[in-house]
Amino acid sequence: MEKRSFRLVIKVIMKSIILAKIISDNFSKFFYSSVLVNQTGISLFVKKEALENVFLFLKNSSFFNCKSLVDIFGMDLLGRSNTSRFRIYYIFYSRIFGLTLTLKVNLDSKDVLVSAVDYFKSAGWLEREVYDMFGIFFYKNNDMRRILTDYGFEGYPLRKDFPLTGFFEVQYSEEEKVVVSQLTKINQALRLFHFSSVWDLTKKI
Amino acid sequence: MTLYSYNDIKNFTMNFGPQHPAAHGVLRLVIDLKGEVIKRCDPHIGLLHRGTEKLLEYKTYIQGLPYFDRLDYVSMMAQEHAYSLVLEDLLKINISLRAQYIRVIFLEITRILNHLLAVTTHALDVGALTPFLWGFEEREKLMEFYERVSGARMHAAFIRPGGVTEDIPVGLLEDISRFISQFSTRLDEIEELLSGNRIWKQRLVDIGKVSLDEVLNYGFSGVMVRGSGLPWDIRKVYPYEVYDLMDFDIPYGLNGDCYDRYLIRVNEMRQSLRIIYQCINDIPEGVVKVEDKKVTPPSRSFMKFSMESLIHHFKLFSEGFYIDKGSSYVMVEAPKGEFGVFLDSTGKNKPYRCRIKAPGFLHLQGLDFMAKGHLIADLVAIIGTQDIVFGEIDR
Repeated sequence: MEKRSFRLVIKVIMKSIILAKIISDNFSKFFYSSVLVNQTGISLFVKKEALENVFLFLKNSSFFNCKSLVDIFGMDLLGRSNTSRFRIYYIFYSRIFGLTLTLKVNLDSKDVLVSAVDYFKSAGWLEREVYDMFGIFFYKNNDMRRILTDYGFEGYPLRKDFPLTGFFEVQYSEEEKVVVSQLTKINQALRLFHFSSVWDLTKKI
Repeated sequence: MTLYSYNDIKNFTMNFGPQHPAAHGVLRLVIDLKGEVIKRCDPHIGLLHRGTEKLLEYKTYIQGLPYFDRLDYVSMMAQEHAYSLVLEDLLKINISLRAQYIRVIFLEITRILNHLLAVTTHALDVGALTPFLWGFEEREKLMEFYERVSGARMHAAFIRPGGVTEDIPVGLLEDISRFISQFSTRLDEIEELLSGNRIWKQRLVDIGKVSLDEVLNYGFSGVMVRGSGLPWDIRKVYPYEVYDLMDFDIPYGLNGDCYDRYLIRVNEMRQSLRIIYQCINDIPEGVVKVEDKKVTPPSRSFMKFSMESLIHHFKLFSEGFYIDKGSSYVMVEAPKGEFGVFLDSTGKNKPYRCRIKAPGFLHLQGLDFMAKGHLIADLVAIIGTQDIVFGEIDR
């Protein structure tokens, strides 16, 4: 069971190491130094000023050949990091090499990012979703409407300071015969249980 | 009297959905028409948004699992499997071979379940009712298999981190093999009605053509990639479970139109049958869960006399397990395309961030360019071929 995928994993890791070497030799000014090799490819931190150049290289350079951008998503680092508020992940596929490339960008709360939509069409909606959920603006993307939340929604739901229950609830009013929006009323507050323990619970026994 | 020049005629803007039977759920489209030709179509999504990603941040890892059944509610197990894989990756546990075989059997059953719905409702949208009725009878049988292993016909929560809920009941494999031996003739019947059908071909051939460049640029996955001539399948590229022990082919099309994608779906069902057949033949004896009782619950009978088991059970379902700091991104080949789950842990018993990558989201983004220049009736065929389910797109 172990040996079957072992060869494939080794192949991917070898290719990843070669790619990591190429990056550190030629493109080190775009990236921060640490390159992480995982089972399907590599992941690394990008300097956000260099992002547009990175997109250009990833798409056109024969070292990368990343023709498709598969996913963009954000993460709120509130309380986890002193220097940056958000982290954006970009997942690229290099289908010729069979590698996955994960780019990470750390952002401050007021930062805006350049859109990837000029290079990868799939970025359009993915960036809209990041904007909808985290309020991070992407310039050069000319369709920055909200996408998943309701028309007229306020706030950015996936930020850590947005409450799980939200602020407004919508219901049909039988008297007024229209849909009305009102402040959320919950009889019992959301209860979160914290299992504090003196033992290190992640350790295997 | 004024004469209007042709240029003064404005495009007609039409609202399609959100409650339209061909919209496969709650899709609202704002379409600009010139005559009956679509000039622009702007999908408005999010009408089924339930905030799954936010909810998962407030649930323990095990409590989060059933949410994945409810994302794409026609390919349930494929998604809970992705979530289980990402948890196993973070927990660094390997599951037993028998559990992997059981998983693959049910993943392929899920693929048939999904493709039956996709193909037959596509036919229904285009105007053929009969395949739908026949296909749903077969789906009923498949959901019975779901019911026999998990007790639920759809939202099974069967594949869990560390293996599967419990071993399959005696006699199930015989019944599955009886099913697959007759199912290929059911597929033949559906193909007899559709594949060579003149109307079906007129409605599908050369409709919604996607070139390979567009596929890569728009980040399509699954059948949408394979329809355009790239045999890309995660089961072959990054094999998970026992897929690399299985002998199966990747069907792919050359034209990238709706008809090719229909043929691929039918062919994939046949490949699924092959995989299930091999699994049933090769499935070994053994346990179906990892022994680590911090991850999997003890058996009910043990709990009756073992205090430790009782404590484990209680702690697992109230407090859950803890995961080391770290993050992982796992992609699986769900029936609709590449379904990815990203999980970031800060060492707590709840995920810090869980990202769900739904294949349909990117497909629906491509609806605009796919439908441009087609008629409204073809738009319905394109929505059908993309196999859109709103549970996963809106999350």
